Amino acid sequence: MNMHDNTKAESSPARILVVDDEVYILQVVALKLRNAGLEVECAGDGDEAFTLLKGKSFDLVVTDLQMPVMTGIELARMMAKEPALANIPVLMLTARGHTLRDGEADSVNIARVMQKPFSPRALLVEVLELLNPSQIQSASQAA
Amino acid sequence: MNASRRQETGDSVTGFWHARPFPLVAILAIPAAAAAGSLLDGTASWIVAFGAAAIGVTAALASTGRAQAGAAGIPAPTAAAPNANESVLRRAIEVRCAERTAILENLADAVMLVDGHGETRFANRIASDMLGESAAIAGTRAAIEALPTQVLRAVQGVAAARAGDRRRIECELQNKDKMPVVITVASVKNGDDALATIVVRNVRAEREADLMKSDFVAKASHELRTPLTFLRASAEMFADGEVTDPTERVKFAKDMLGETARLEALVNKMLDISRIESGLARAKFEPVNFVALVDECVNLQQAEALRRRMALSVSRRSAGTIAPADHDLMKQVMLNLLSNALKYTPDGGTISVEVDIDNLARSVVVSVRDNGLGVPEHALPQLFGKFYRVEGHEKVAKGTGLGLNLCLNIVEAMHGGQIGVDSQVGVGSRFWFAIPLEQAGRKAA
Repeated sequence: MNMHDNTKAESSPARILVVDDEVYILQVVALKLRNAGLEVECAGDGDEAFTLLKGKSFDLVVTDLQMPVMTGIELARMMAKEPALANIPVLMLTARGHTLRDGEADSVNIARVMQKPFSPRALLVEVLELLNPSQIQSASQAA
Repeated sequence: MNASRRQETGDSVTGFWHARPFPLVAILAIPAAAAAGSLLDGTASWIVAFGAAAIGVTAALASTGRAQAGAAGIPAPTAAAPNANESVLRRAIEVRCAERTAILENLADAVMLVDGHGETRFANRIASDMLGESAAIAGTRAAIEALPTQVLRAVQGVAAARAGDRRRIECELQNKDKMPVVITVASVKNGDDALATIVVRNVRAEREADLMKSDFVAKASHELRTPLTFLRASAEMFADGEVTDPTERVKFAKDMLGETARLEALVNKMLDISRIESGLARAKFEPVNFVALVDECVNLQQAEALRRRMALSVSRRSAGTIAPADHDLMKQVMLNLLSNALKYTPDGGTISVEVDIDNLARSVVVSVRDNGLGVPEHALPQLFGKFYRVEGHEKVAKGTGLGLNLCLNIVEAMHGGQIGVDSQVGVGSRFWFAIPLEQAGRKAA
């Protein structure tokens, strides 16, 4: 598989970008998703994530909400402004008790919100569910 | 200006005197007692208030030597009473009235007596401070109109109800920067008069304390959640057999231990701070030799400094730096400042500690200087607050965000000392604390 190929072959694994300022969280999420056969890249903040997003194609972004430099929402907003990134679904990890304010999730592609502490098992289920529709879609387009 | 208006109220009251001496005393004494009762124990039994009024009158009578007046202690005013005695009695009752008024004027809450239509009979000074100058003018509705409308409804309600009826209203005053208040309206029956007392208490300080508490809980739970999230996720990964690589297993386990230690430190610091703030923790004062204490702490951190090729030393050891303090708490403060200096100074940096005497302030001053990252000016005022982390510093080193707040509590609340920082971004910081050479009632040996 060519790592730098922007147009992925149908058979290549989905590529996920995981964004969190806590290195330990990145480590757990990355291991769980890699063990499930997915390709994972990690970013420590929104800036780094955005740079990676512009360089490669991703199928899904898993991001923390509360991060220094750029919040998960700000990252999602920046993605929404880029036509190439606007359709990438975002799975947001938030602290329990932190609800998104009205309008905060508007016009951005936040597909799911999961609360921390989370179960890696449950996270994988959500990730696979989010990845499936696009596979079905691309399969139907190919047909 | 206020005083003269209330004088008017007073004059009109004394004007009534000849016609209705006792109801007047009751009017003045009863609300005073009722107000005091409601403020003191929050129950304000009307009977107690009436009793107090009766006692006031009895006391007035006793002091005039008219103990014979009335078996129950409440004499019936009679036209037959000798003029001389009447004027003595009148004087005594005036003194009692003045005392009751003084109590009302010195209360920190606004106290008003109004009739069933909301017309003011009496208002104390705080009432006019809270509701405007005109609130104190008797016979007007200025006070009731300055209050939210539900207060008038409550007044009408309790005036129509039996004696002792009370309503409690929590609201904000519109004219006083939205001052949060608790208003208690209680019925007063005085013959045919249906009156009500209104007590307005400013609860801004309590509300702010509540907000600070919930802010603390929110921040604490955020800080607790981060290590918890990692521990929960990793434990599940181990349970599911997902961590297979031997090197990875060791790394995960070590990280889990590290995060457990962080949780422990966080919980301990939270408990320490809350014990100090609630006054439960007390310093065990003994003469502390600060040079020896600083040497001990610097030695403890030397291994970490060496590992990071940093120069850590004590550059000044002034004589006579012995002061009464809690040795273990001082060590905790010192280790905290040293560990911060190590955390936020790049490898190869320099940290020096000075132990000085400030002869003017009569205190021992310990300073920890580093040539590290420094603290931006805007962050300085919040640096000793709870859970405050300088932006970007959380990337440099892990911390609870409570260490400096704990130091502040130990130094200032428990030792009557002072703690502070001078810092410049990119140049370095000097954290210092000062402990008085003498504690009140204690002297260094």
